[in-house]
Amino acid sequence: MNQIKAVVLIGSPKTGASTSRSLAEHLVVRLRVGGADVRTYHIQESADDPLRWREVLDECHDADLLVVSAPLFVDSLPSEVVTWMETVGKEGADIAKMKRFLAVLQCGHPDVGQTSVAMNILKNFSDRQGYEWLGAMRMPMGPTIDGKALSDAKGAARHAIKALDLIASALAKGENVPVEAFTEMQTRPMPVFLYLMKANRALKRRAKENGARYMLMERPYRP
Amino acid sequence: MDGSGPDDIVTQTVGELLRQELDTEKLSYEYAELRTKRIAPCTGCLGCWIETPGVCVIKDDVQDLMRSWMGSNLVVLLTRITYGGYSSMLKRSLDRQIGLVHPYFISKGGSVNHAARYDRYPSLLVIGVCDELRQREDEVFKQLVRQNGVTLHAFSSRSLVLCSGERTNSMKEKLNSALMGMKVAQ
Repeated sequence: MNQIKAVVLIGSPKTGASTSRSLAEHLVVRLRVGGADVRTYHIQESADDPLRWREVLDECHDADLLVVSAPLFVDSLPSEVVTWMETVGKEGADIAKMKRFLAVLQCGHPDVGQTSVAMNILKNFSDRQGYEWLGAMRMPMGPTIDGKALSDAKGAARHAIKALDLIASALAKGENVPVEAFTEMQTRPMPVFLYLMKANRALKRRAKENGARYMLMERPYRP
Repeated sequence: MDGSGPDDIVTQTVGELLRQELDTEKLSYEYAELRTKRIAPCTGCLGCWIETPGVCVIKDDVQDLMRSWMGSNLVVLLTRITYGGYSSMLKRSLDRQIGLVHPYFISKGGSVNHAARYDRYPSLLVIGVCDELRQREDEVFKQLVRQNGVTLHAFSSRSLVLCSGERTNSMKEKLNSALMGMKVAQ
């Protein structure tokens, strides 16, 4: 079997550590272990450089497998991912080479249902481009990873690791994607009440570090 | 907030019709052509939640847009429907408005959402423009508007889809009906 050529795009606007990057990097390592030739690009960083941007578009065109790893921003995809879709879409349907398309989405909400719109937007894009839509790996409670490598994120990443390992193994061999990988990815790493308590506490702590602990309720644009 | 791109003549034309309807109804409004504004992409830093709560730390035209948002009874977003979502131009602006809501999650009626920062929010009308009706994309678009209405605590929310092949009069009627049919907080 020929070596799979994959392009993994990181759609988080954060240029440093991010949960979308952590998930993507784990997938990349596993795809490489499976024998795939993988290129990784950060969409926002690449978009700022026209030559780099062209390279991204050309690599996407040549890939057998395309993966977009993105967070949820205001119920949908970050604007950079939309810009990428608009640019690729303007170049027309890409049917010269059969391409498989996978989304990896994560959100701060405890319910992955919140990512349905983003998933469907990517599916619509995939269908219009003539790609084979593999589905979306959707992770709830993304901030529990907090930009750490999945191997360092302890229990918070256990379902994501299992899910990504499962799917990477299948993708690298060009096999059908296992349904259990999607189910595993959607499993909450902790109960909802505990997550909400931890998430709110973490925000308070970070606000305190910034001297904004008692300003959290500010209403600067109250008419 | 007009999220049409510089080459998107069709959506810009709908924007012109929208202004005509607003003028006809003698409604007081601000019209923001986002393509003429300085709007940097959101960096996901959460500064608008934990550094300068409610205010984005990037200083550009977004502060004025947020002030206008909260000073209105009705916010109208205009966009090319992009695979069921918003144009990158509109999305870039919207991503930066997340400071309008509070970072804390609250669980209410079985669903979890960010708490409201303000006592009242404007209603939200989102007008999507497409070249041809694609049922799946339209459904996703409508779902997105509903979800945005909840997330942004809109007093009420509604979507309107216009197709570039429609007659001008038909578009104007639909725009007028959508505008005048909106429930707004007084």
